[in-house]
Amino acid sequence: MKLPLTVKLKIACRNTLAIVCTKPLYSLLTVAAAISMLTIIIWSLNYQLVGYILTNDGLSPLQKVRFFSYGYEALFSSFDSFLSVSIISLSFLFGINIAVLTYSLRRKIASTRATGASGLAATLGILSSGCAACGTSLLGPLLATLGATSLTAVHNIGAAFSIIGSLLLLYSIYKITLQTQTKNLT
Amino acid sequence: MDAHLVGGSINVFWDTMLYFVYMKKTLLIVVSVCLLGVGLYLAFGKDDTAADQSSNKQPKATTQSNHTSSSAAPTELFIGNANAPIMIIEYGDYKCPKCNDFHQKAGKDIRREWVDSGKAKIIYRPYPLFGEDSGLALYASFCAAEQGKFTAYHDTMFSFMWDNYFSKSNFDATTQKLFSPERLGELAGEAGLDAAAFTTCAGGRTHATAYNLTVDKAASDSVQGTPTLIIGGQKIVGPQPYSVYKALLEIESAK
Repeated sequence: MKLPLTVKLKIACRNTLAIVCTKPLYSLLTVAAAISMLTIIIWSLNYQLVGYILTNDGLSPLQKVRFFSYGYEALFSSFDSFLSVSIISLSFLFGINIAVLTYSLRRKIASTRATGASGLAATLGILSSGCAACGTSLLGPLLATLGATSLTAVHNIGAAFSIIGSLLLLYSIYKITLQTQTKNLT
Repeated sequence: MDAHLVGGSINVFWDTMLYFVYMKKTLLIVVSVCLLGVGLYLAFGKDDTAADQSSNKQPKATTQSNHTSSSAAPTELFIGNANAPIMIIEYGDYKCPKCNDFHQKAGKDIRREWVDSGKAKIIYRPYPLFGEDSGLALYASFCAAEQGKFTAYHDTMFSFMWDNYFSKSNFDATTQKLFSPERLGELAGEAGLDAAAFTTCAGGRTHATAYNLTVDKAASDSVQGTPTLIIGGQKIVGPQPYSVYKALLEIESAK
């Protein structure tokens, strides 16, 4: 019997919450993965700078940690609020996705499509930051040459990537958790 | 954290690794090779930015002070005291929204805390991205520097774009032709320059060599977008919070 979409969504939501919220290990994994993804997105364009700071003998470990925290300020100063919210959402969804993916892998519930969606979503997430920081400077003229008439849309391409990535992650979470056996969660 | 949780975390990690090892061995090998390559490049790859930075420690500018006019043609565009010990190289475009974002936020803090106090100087290098008039506006920067008023012209251009377009989220302006020699002359007049002389200069080719030479430096510095700043040989891509630049400037000042 084929279940209605609303029932499937309810099952997926319940399974997701059961994995992420009731199991401390997976809660921790969610947070760690989300922070990692957010850090990668913020610093992806400046990986050489990251290497310089990490290997700089003149800085204490505390100063190095503090330097990385400066990058998070960019979410609230350099990125507009819509883009910032979309990047944070994507990172949070990425964390949840990693947790449910790990859970399903441990129970040998393989989902190639979901895994592929996760990888693509992560890539788009990183690209969203690149576009936000300065990619529009490259994409803008290129797309204008190709006929794009609204640079407002191009300017928001970073947010568009984040949103597409978030949708892919939601799809991945939905597919994975739908296959999870409820009895394994009790 | 009790032993069960610790043991559970180890099991999760090990199970995940085993899955990839047995089920995705090929993928694991490919990813490992890629990561090894990236690591080797980061560790031993040629640092073009640092090499170019060291060669730029003595820029070839003949106009040493931005505040005095010079009969010699400018070859670099300075903001601040050209003899300041710390050098900040900035690649930008007046029509670039993110460059303006940097100029309105962290850029003002850098100017106030480091440039105005004489601790650092900014070398502004054109990186035209938004059409022919964008290149013209950047070329005309040398005309402003010839009159010893590049900083005023630079600030006027960014203010013009911000007040009329970017503050209103009108980013379509970047694809429109906004600048002609006459229009640039009007803006230069607002910045306190000799508008007639500026217009004549902007319509000519006097500074073509200097302009092309500075634009070419972007390639050797591996610049891929704007704004890009280089402080102490370290490249910072995109507009960052002032605290990021401040940390690097403090490292430089401690040397």
